[in-house]
Amino acid sequence: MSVASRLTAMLSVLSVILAGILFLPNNAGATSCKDVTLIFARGSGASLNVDENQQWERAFRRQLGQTKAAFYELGSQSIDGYQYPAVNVSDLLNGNAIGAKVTGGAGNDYGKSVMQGVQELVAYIRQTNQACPNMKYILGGYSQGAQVMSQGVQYLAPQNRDRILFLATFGDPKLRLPEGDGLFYVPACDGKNFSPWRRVVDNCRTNNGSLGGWNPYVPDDMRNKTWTWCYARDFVCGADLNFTDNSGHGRYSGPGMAIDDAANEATKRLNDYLKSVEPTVEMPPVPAAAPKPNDVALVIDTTGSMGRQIEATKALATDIANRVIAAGGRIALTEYRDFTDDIKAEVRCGLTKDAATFAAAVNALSVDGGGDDPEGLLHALMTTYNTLQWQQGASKAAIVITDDTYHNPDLIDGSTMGDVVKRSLEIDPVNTYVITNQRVANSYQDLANGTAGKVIINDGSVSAAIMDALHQVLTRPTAQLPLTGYEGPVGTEFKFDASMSSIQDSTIISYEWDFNGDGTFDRTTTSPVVYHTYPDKFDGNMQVRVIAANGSSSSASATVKVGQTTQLIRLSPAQGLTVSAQSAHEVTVSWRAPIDSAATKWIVMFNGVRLGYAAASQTRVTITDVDRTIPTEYGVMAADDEGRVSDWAMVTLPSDAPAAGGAGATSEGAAPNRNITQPNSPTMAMTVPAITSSAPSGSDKPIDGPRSEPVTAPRAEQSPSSMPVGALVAGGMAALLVSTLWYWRRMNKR
Amino acid sequence: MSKRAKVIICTIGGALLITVIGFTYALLWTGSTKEIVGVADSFHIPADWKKVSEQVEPPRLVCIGDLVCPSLIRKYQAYATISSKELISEILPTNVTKVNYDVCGQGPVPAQARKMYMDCAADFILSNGYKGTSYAYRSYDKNSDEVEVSVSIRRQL
Repeated sequence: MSVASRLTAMLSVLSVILAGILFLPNNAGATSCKDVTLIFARGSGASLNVDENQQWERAFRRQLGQTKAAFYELGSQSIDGYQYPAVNVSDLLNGNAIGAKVTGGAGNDYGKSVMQGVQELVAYIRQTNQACPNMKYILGGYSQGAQVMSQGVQYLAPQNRDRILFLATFGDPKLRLPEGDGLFYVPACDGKNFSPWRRVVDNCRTNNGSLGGWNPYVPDDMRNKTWTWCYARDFVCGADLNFTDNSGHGRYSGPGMAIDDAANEATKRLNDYLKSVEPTVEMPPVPAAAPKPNDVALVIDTTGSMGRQIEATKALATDIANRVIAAGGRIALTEYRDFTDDIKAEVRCGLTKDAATFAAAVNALSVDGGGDDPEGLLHALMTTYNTLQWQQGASKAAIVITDDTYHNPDLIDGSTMGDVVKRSLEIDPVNTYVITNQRVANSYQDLANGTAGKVIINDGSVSAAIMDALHQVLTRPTAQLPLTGYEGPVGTEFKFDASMSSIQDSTIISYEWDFNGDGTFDRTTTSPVVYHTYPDKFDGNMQVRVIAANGSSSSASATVKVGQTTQLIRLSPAQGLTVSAQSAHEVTVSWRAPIDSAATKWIVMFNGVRLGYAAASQTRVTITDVDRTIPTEYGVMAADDEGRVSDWAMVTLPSDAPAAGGAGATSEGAAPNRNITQPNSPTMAMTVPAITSSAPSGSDKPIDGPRSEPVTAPRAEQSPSSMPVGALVAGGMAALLVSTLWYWRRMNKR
Repeated sequence: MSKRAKVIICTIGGALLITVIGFTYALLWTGSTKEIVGVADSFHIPADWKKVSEQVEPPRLVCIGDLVCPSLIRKYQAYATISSKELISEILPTNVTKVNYDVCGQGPVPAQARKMYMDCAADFILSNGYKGTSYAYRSYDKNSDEVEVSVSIRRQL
């Protein structure tokens, strides 16, 4: 083993150890059972939790919603002594690649590595099954890891395989596709006999992976739960026989590619399963209460009449900051005036732990403007809420200092009191304390109530009022809910549990519940737990206000979605998909966007290959250089920027018979043929000039998304990287041929 | 054996030898990792961040494994209170031409599966022909500012 290889091995071991420390999975005890565990096996030579595994987790993170899920990567710990090492095959000198090839992936260090993974998978599922008998599994593997998975399911007992909802394999060296068999007639190239696990296989002649396919690929009970992807120019899974060009093998983890596709399908199946068995919403175990840090924003009215109060605030600035920082918090400053002023609302200091920075920002304030009596507070609060980088998990408060009322709705951005309260709750919430004079105090009660803050009267000493507000903010209870969001069907009885809430130097005496986030508290309890059923669909926030014996209070909020389908969202598919032959080798694909379409782009597919994106406004593309001597398949799928997709709208165009010529087809059925001549050259190359290479709105195009440039045929050409080897081989063979011919001619002359 | 026959055998043998040597050289050749390491070094990693792992795959003429050639992955451990998106945006080098952020600030999955959860991802393209992805992982412990950041770089295919 070379020095570099040893170093790589040492780094891999180090990363395994570190990852083991950082990513210890929970003991799957009865109290922490998940709905599903997502298990992934990485490719050869990869460290733990990189590239494909990260993309796998990321794709599911987009969609899991409130599903209780655990991620487990094979190799991240030793189970029953088994730990998947994913040995490296890139370095030919270590012999793993050759050993794998010679033994069909069963022997040598490579085979041992795969078996370690298989046995770790079997042991993990066996152990977690015992602890969580209702938990399901979603499996995924890349390359060597794909072999681990396709081999592993064969080793699992049938009752354990029954717990698997979905298996996704990417670039599997043991892939088996019987429809790719055949020397002259290959059923897959005729669109026939597709295996149920075939998802995207770019080369119709692919039948066995590079290490020989399993036969059958997966057990019978996994046939309809398995999908496989094998992209063009992937030697490993058998899409390309030229082993020097393996560039397709690294494409599965790109945005919008195979792993995202797998996550979409797996999540759909998971949600279907959960809907069928889980009518109520279970809450996760409640962790021990812990004090929360404070994020505090000072929001100061700097209109003309505020001069004296601002000078008092300047004198206190350092003290205010130090108190907040000493309590483990951060402090920020916003200045606001009115719609007629140059300064409308400006964050002068972001949330900071630096008292000097905050004090400098306060000391730079000056007064001016104001115009009419009401000011632009609602705009200022929206600016503050939306601009500051609030710390997740922190208690949040805004302290407003003003001497007048406010425009409602605001004359700068149109915000209403309701908008401000709603936004406050969305941020978990930002309790708003208002320091003002007796004259206008009543006008702020709704704001304070809606955000679980308070109105503090400035009876002549703004310094005292500020310190009072600060004291209340820093000594208030910590209100906590176990979840940031609740979701379920109409009729679900939700359990809201605020028992994690706590306070130092006092006790919590009551809990006030606002179930629809309108600022009106619907129920008061002494128990920290309430059950509530929403009679109709609802999409908003709820909050609980915790009242302490010392008179202080705080609140926590969460989103509530009742009868919504955000986890299950599939975009509406394209309608009326029609394919018509424009010439011998030019085909136009057109479709209609459904009325409720939320698509921001359309993904266009040809014969299982995603060609690229069309803009949302575009419903027609032309594909040129199509070989119409064989049936061709076209698909269009809606997609949005959140990664949601629709089902494919598909249509197959029959082959262009010599006598009949061109053809048309719709998703409802094939149309009569038209007279069109055959293409002179049976090339598979095609270009897609009608499909834009840039996103419609400038940022839609994923940077490694499906190809949008002119596309080459699924049967790959030789890539530049393979040219040196090809040239050398060709040169050697040519020299050999010339020598032989020369020798043969000389012998004949004799 | 005649002189002519010897010449023929030598010619054929030489051609075969050259082919075999060339083929073997092409299979085993690995390039320098200096360039991709330089790309990784151009990220603005704060001095107090701790590099916990690094994996570098060198350029190869024949790239037959599962690792993209060339590619590099580094992982860092750090402590920060700013958002993960802001964190990633601050470390990206100046020659970034495009960034797509994903899953940022969604919060943890409801049930704690590990100590850290994925809080933000960013796919980026650099002007020098490289692209990559950076991930930020946060602690489930809300009182912890710990963050793990990974930077993965590869040549654009």
